[in-house]
Amino acid sequence: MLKYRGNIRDQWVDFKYWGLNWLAILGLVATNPYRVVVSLFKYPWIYDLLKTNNLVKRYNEGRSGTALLLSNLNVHRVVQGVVRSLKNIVHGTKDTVLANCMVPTEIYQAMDLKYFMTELPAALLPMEDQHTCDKYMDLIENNGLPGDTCSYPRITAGVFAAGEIPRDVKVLISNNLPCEAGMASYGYYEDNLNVPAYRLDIPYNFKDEDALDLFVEDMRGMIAFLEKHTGHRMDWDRLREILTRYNRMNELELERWEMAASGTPPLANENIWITHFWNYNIDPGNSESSAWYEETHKIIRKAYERKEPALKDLRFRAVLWNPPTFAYAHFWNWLERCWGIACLNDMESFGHFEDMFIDTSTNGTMLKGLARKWCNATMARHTRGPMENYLPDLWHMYEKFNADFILVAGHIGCRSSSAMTGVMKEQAQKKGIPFCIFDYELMDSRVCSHQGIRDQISNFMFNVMKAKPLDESLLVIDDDSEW
Amino acid sequence: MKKLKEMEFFEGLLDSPRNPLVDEALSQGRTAVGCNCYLVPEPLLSMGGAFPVRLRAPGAGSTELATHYLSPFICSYARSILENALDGAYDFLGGLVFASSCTHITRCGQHFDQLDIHAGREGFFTHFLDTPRKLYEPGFAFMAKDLRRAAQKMAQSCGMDAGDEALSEAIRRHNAFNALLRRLSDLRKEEHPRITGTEFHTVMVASKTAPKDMLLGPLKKLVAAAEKREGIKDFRARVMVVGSIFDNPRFTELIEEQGGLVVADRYCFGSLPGLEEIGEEGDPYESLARHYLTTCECPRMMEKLKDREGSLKRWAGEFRADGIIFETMKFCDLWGYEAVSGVPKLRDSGMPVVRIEREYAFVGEGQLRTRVQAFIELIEGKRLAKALAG
Repeated sequence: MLKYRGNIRDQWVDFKYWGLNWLAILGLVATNPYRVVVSLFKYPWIYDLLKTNNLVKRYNEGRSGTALLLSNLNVHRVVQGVVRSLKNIVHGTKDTVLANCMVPTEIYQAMDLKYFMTELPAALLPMEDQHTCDKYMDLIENNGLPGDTCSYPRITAGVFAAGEIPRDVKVLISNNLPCEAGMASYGYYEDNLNVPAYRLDIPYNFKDEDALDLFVEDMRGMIAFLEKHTGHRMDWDRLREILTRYNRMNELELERWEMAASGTPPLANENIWITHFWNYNIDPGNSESSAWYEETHKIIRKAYERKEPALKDLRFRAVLWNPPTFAYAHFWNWLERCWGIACLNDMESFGHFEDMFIDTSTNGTMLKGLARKWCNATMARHTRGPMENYLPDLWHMYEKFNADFILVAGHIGCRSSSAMTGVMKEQAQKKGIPFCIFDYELMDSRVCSHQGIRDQISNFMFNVMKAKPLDESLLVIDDDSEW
Repeated sequence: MKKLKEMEFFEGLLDSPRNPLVDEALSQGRTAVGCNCYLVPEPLLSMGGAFPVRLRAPGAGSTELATHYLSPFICSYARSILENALDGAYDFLGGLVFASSCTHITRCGQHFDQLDIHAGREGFFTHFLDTPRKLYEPGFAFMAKDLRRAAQKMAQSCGMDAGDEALSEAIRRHNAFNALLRRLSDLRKEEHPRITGTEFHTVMVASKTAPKDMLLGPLKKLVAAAEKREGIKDFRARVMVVGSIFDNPRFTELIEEQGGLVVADRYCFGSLPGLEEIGEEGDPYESLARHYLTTCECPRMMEKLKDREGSLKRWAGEFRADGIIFETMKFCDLWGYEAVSGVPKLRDSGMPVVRIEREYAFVGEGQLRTRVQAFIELIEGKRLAKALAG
């Protein structure tokens, strides 16, 4: 149930989005109740998505004003996007493209294709409930997958092994992003699906023009493959519209960063991360994303002009490196309330820069721009390719956001970032930058519990930052069995 | 079975990356070029007086320093190589050509530059090959161009000719050497093979870590001696070893001590693939790119899972393997997923398969011995059951 927030305005925001989220979910049911019921049996993980309003509650404990409104808006946008994605499987999958999470989805949209991201359950479920994916990880480990691989593809493979990913799809599209485990997992799906498949190969050194041109060629191959197997044609004018919207979003994103870098950052923590994660990575370029960006931007701009910071009691400015803790989605809220920490940017968001605007003048320039965009997308830019892609961005981000320290989420299943830890430590020490590497497993809280994460950060705050918590009662919380 | 005296020469080359033949070549003013993967074409590094040395870490033990840099979650091959490098074990190299083959090897290679491991060495060069993960025409052309860039760096550094004719000549020499190795390899296909898996493994590793031209004479003698030898009869089962980096013949010896005869080697440092003839017509750089990408059987290649399964079945048939030991290196995601898809398929086809997760260094001998013993008993049990049923 909704707890009284102490003022009518915040209460109304809470209530409004609580209701809107349920309405969006019920909207899916209303499209075809029979098929929704059938889908609940076929894809039982959909039940867990009903915990969304509880996630909002966890994100927003103790928040008010703009931060509360933004968080509600962000999650509602995700709910709308998820409902749209679910429609592509609930209403039959024979025409659906099953796709890896990091394939240029703008192309599907331009071709008017139905698509479903294979990793959607893995991306969302651990945020809703930390233990809901344990069964999938156990299942695939029992099928022979080593338990030390990254839990993101491991959960996806588990959901697939459980038969809860649609199999009677039109085609399978994948690539080698964001990491090797993700890429390798698609061999397993391809082997079991028996549908035509296309694999995009993102080059290692994607800053090299030849490599980028090779990727463009590969995307042309993907378009030709989709045209052949789906009967849909590429609509270049539609792609231009999508990319024009993307360019506008990029403009707004850069402005947001400027505001976040100010002395009174109007947005922080998951209000930065989730925005980027969903609108750039999972569901980019569509009109909803773009409209949502415009709407929230006005709110952020007003808060910035009023000098209203995202946190009531902002004690520390930080940047977060490596992917955030999916199995502890509301970790940000603890950072805020226990220590007054505002993460003003993070690795998953920090990849799109001034040179990421796409030239929409010709089909070729659009493809090249898209290629560059996806090579620099979430994870892709940093956790693969030459080493220079990884650390300079971190130091740049630290300076740009005037951070007090760096939080490094040491995801033990991420080979590529783990292998940078030593050099990162040495460089940070040389630069005199305080940093905290906390070990955890992206989506498996059995490896490192919520309290385990909190303890590591608290130790750093006590011993390195010599800080006192804002609320000592939050240092130890018994939440191992909670969502 | 009596040991071939010709083997001693090859065995003496495996104790250190800087083996006697490497020393001799260096004293002649030749350049050793380090590489880390099958995808770095050996003929490319064999132009002029250069010769390739595939990086190994014989006798690898503790990897404390490398673990600090790479973390404990990177495979122990990559950590052992970096540890060896930090200890100066590769200081004799004149350059390095790495392939962006997998995350572990790539990150390991990047640390050579990042930590300035060869700082101050005059003329030292490094090149990272951007190796495509799929087979398509633009990819072959792209890799060929990249190979040319690597060759130019080598040429500048070693003062050698990296022209098309020089590479064609290196390919011809490589093919001739491999033809000889194939004769040796084919002896394993016989009902009573005339070479053990350990012997063949030793020769393969030596051939990747010493100048091939200097190995030619000893190899000819070995092939002649092996061809005259009587076939091996005292084994309990013929096995194929499948997996990633496997460069220590002691592992093979352990399998053979339990009565398994290793007749086929589908692993890095093995001969499947590795001994195929490279096309000598047309642009040699393009020929190399096409050859190495096409023959690569590593799960890093995205689109070849079904082909790889087919290759394993084909090789198991050709070499008359009774069972497969599927060895994967701890923390290797590529082989981890490959096993999830591949092992059940092989078992469904009636092939006994055991999956062993291991470290790079020769550790856990007792456990390994027990598992191999049990596997050989399983093969024998199946054979007996089949005979009784038939």
